Amino acid sequence: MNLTDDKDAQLLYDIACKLQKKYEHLFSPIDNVLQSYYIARDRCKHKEIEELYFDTPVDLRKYLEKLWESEEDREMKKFIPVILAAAFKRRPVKKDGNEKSAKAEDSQLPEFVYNF
Amino acid sequence: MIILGISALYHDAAAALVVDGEIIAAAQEERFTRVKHDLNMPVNAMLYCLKEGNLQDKKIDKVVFYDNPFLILDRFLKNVCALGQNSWDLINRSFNTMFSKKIWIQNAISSVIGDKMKEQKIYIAEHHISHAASAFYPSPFDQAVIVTVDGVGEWATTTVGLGVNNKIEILKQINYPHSLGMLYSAFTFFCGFKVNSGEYKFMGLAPYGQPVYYEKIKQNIIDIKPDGSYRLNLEYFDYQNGRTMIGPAFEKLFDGPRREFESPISKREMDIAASVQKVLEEVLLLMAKDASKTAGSLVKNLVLAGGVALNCVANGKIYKEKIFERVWIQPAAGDAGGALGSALYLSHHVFGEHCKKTGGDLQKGSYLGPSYNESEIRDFLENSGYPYHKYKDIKERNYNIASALNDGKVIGLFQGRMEFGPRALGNRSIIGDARSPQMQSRMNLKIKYRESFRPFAPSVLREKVNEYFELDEASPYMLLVANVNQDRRIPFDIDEQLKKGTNMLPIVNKARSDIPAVTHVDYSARIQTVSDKDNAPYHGLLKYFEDMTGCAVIVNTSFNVRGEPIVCSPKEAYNCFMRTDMDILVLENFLLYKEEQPEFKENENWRDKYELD
Repeated sequence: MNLTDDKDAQLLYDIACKLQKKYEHLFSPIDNVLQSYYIARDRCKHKEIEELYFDTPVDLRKYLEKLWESEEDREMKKFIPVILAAAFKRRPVKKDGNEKSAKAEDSQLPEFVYNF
Repeated sequence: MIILGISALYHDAAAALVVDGEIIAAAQEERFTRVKHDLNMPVNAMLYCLKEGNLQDKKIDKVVFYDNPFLILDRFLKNVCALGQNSWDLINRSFNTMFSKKIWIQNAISSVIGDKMKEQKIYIAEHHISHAASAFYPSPFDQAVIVTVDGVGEWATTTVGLGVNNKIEILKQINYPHSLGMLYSAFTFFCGFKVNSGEYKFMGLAPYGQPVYYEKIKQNIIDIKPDGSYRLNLEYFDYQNGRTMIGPAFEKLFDGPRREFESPISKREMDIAASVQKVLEEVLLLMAKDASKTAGSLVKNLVLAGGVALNCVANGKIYKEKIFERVWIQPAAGDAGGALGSALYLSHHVFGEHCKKTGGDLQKGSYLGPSYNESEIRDFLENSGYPYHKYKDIKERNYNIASALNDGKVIGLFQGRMEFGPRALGNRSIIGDARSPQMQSRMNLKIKYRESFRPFAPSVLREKVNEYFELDEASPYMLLVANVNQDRRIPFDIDEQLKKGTNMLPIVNKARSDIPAVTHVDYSARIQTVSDKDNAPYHGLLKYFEDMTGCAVIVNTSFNVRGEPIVCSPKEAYNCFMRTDMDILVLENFLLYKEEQPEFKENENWRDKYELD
């Protein structure tokens, strides 16, 4: 899949470039001083389970604002407009029966790449 | 409460139905679509679950998805930010999936079963909570330490937690990009096997090698703390850039480029497999010891899930060390099991439905998929014009199967409900005589059409397991590895054999015990114990074979060929039977002999249908 001409993808890329300074050290390297690499759960903001339902850009915006509500994530909110645009432009059309297979799209991925 | 759990859009899509806290049905989508590791919305598995639960006139109370697309979005975007100008590959790779599929998961589910849902909102559970729940709730334990290890969920790649009665709590975790699953997959890739499917082969390759790269890996690739926590040296990897698994530094460190897919396997790959396996076991053992300390002496049980928990060799080491009194591993430990776990978490943890522990586990032998009754099978055979023999009872059937096994025949065994999880446990299995020295290579090359080095697993009577193996525990899900007993072994030196060359065919044909077909080159075996309670028809067959031959062990491999999902229906079983060198097909009480079947014609070459795994 080549997104070179995709405006939303380009916008997302531009924001990411502007935020790089803040996140360039996101992935912690090996540290010989630390006694443990475990992160205590209470330091993670993960929610074990939550309800999901949105139908409009306003609904989705609420989820995203909640996701990045902490001061630490304040700048991530810059992505919200492009996410709303990208998501609603790609909203799946309701069809009867089976969903269209993702196989054709996925088959263009390199064969040996971890799929995530 | 009727709860449907769903996993999809990553790999191994599945659905699971839980009613009033009880597991009713679970199945992987690949079994219906015949696309191995199918990741698409599990439409067929969902519909099967509803059918199995007799829900035609009822509504589903709650639907839960096994991971959280918003936290995945958070990881994706922060990863993109971290890469800045170098992020285009990652954006290219994930943008469409993220915004057209993952974020719209509720719509995708609703488009299939919306009319069956009481409410259109769904629940989204955290990926590792789903794994943890899949390990704890079906286990026999009221209290257990829970360890989950896989490639990546949202952020977590490894978690340690605690389960007590209805509640689960994650205590600590390791986050992406540091991942034991990714590490193992990176080496799997380097050694020429496919990521997300070749890991099991890679594990099977390890006993052929020596861990000569062990120190190199520890000095350069992974830093392990005394509590089993770890970080990877990211200079050697490329997955965080959205490209391939490993970077050029990795290839340089391990003496050259990676092995090409399907090219000959060299001693280097064998030694790397042995080395990585040793590192993995070290990490998991340290982690289990630390988890035991964290939980305190009152918690004597360990449960495991996540794709890495399918590494039955490491599981066997954890069991053998006796860090915990008892160990239970979710048989669908990979992402398929997340469908089950998320449904169980919602039922027990969120809505407080009672978890009825009765001493044994609640997984129902993992026989949670579709079954076919006598009239359905008869109709299929009659309508297709396939000659068959119908036996009046199970005794007559078992006598015939046992006699055929004793004569060296290879049999496709199709009975009862299909297994949930990657292992065939006697209901969708190909079976053979474990005493035959040629059985391993015959089954690999003429029936499974797979690599000659790959070992086969034994099914053994639960009550006789310690007469054959260094194990005296139940292992009903083929998730523990133990050695063949000393007195059954035949001296065999794999290093001496490999000096003559790395062609593995003559090596696997050399007998290593009196049950050679299921004895790996290091005398290990991936054991399935069979009890009357787990699977009465299969137990009865094994008992018959033992009475006839004095041997309580047979070979059990999944009913499929390489690259094909395990068969689900009688038609798929018949096709697989006719495409291979199998001698007999058993469909419940119907027996079909190959020599009596009409010429088998197919419009397309089945080998083109299944991509090699």
